[in-house]
Amino acid sequence: MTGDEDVTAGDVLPCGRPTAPLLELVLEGRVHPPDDERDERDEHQRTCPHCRALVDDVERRWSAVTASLVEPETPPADLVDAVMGRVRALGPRTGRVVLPGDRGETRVRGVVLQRVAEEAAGRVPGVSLALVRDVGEGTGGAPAALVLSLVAVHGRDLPALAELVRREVGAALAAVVGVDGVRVDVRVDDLAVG
Amino acid sequence: MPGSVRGASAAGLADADDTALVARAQEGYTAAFEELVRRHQARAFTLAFRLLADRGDAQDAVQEAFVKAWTKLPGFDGRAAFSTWLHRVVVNQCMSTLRRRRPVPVPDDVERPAPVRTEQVVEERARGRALRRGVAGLPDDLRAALVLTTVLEQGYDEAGLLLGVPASTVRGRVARARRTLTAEMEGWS
Repeated sequence: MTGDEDVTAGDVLPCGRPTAPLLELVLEGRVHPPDDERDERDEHQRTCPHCRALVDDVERRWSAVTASLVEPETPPADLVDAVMGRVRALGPRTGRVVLPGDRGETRVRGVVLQRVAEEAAGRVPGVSLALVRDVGEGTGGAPAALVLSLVAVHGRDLPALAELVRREVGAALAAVVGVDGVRVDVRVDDLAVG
Repeated sequence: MPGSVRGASAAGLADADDTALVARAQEGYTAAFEELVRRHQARAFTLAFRLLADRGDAQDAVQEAFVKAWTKLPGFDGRAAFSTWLHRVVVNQCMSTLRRRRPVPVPDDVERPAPVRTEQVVEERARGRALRRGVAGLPDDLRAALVLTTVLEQGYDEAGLLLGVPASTVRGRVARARRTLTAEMEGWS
């Protein structure tokens, strides 16, 4: 590794060619394997051992730079928590629904869906509290999904309760807002005891 | 808590691929987004750190970029990989940080490097550090062109779109960056 001649140091290569033009070709990314049509070296530069040594040397150094750049850094330990703290603080996304009509469209903001869903879920026996966490907006403004957090009354069959909530919320959205097929994801976050 | 709903759901997220997580996150699942953040934080942070050459700035930029990614996620159409889309958000955030902090300060933990001599740097690791210092000491526009084409392996056209300059300018900047760094490596064997 030591004692190698520094081929980039001189102005002229041992073959008599100046170093600078070939170095420029390499640095500008215009040197490719000889059978690659993008290779801009002349015939001498492709075959001469001194010219090839220069290219190899620069490429070798360059691969060290690339390797050092892609080597992963350790992110700050609290990055995920910091991001998610801010994401959760934003609250539900304000999704919206666009209802097409013959004489113009109707837009309903996510907060309206939220109120309708919370009110419908809150009336289901066995639900102590219902909160919409998020309103997902589908492509073109079609409603995609609601994420609903529940506090359920202790002692209930939770999967059955979730299914009932899903049905009631779906029916309310269809009746009040006029949208069908909204996906309702239910999260039972806590139980109300006693 | 094996067998519990919470445990099963967490395991499910860890097993899900990015596309599935993105779909869930688009529906509003913050837990799915959290898994995406966990997966992509190292690459995003490395990218920001290389672009900004300052750990604190990189942390702020990545945090901001992830929050933006969350708010923009419903508009992500899935034509590109999530990682590609995310890196674009990170790069845009970093470029706006760079624009704000002009004129260019010398990075806080980095002295403008003198040409690195073989006798100063023997170990590969030390060389890696020296190289990264060299890159950190480059002018912002050269460093950005270099980082996008090496770390993200972008072509000149793609990097030009992100940086808002023609591809030929990116090529010129990469060449200047390479020239500077190659000169700094003078004497390395």
